[in-house]
Amino acid sequence: MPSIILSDKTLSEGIYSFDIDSAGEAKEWPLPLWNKEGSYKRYSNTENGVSALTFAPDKDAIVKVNSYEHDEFGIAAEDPKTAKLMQEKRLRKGDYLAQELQGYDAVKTYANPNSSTALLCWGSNKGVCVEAAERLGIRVIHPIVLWPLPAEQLKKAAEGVENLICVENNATGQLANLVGRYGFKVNAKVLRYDGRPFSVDELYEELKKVLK
Amino acid sequence: MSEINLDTYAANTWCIGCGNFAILNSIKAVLKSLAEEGVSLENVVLVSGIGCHAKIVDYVNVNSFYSLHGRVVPPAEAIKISRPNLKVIGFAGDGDAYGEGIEHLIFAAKRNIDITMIIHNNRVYGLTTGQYTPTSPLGFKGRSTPQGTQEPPINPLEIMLASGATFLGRGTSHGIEMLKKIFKAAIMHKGFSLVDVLQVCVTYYNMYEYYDKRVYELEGHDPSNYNQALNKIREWDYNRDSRIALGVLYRKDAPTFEGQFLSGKREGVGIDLGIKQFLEEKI
Repeated sequence: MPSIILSDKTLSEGIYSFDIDSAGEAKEWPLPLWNKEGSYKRYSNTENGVSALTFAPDKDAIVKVNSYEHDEFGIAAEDPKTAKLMQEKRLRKGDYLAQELQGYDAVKTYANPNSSTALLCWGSNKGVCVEAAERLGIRVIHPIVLWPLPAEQLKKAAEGVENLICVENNATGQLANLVGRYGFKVNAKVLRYDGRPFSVDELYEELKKVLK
Repeated sequence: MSEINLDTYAANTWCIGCGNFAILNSIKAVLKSLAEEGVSLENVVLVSGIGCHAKIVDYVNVNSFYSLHGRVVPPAEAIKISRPNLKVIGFAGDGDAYGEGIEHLIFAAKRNIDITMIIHNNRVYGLTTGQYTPTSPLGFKGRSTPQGTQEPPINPLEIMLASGATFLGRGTSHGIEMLKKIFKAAIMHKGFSLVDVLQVCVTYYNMYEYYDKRVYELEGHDPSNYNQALNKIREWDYNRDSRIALGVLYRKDAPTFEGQFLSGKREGVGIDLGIKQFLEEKI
């Protein structure tokens, strides 16, 4: 399944070092390959929504990929019955993905895990947030998967939190809006949106104002 | 081998008299002849965009990638680079290739990647019922320009020649035999090839008579001569009335992108390994 890795200017224009071992082993999962039974259908309608793969050239298969609504073989389809069937297949695939994600460490916590005040941040703000939180003795919650949002893990990471402060490098608080849709109440937002990243000292001062 | 059936179960929804049938029948004939010559059809991938032309992949029973509007070239290039042994044939409309997707086309020509682009150039947006495209003539009255357009068309073949395309051809949907010949030559060409097909949209811009009066087949033309090709390409600018040359306009041998790209890779030495070795030496 295609994935999107979000990056930003701070990461792409900065130089960082990291402990490669702490990242763990990057496992390559086997592809759900076609078992050559029957005739090949690129979008075969399965229970979990995942269709078996094969790649051209395959002398036993014709592989038809289609960006338009399509039937199981990959021929464009406009009848409502097929459209509904395939839409539901994709929804099941989304559910299956969300379920699989529960087996991964999708939300990280840092600094003081017992504090009832927590910073919620994503992406490159992790570093400054952890440093500022350590000075203030508060918790940091850092989801590393944003979609499908790992709501259960986020709930666990936020257990005992009474004051949730969202720190983001955008003008509207995009993560705050996203988690809001899942019932997480963000008490305050600290945003920087002048095209530059937070410095630790600046963030520390901003947080002191919010925590007063 | 004459038993090869390239049909699918998809119902054809093109209008009666649509120029797309000529392209469909020509490409099927070419694929059959390739199969007869020993090319395994599992090594063929067709790519299409969005528009009436795009349905062609539903009507031919070989591997295909029905992509997005203006985006025929990127998946075609990706398929070629990842599996260089595949024959990749892209189909695109004039709105698709010369409008939204023209930057991809220019860069594919520039890098001379070995794909074939067949353009269903009917000079109108047919699927959306008749708006002007980059190759509609000046003053074209369409659904979005009831008073006529105020801008002249582009000459796509001139742009392609200037961009570095190594094979350029033109045919019409009233000339199946010629289309077959040009398609086959384009597909067999090693490098970026493009065939501009003056394909008639019978419903929204019926140009059959107009083309029939003006087209002629190239004779005694040397396609390896850049200046001759340029002159023939400039003879008709897709706007004013003049004779319209059909056939292989330009052909040149040049190194292909995927050939260079893949030979540039060193076996067993990934970039990670290189960095690791460098660090180990320094630290």
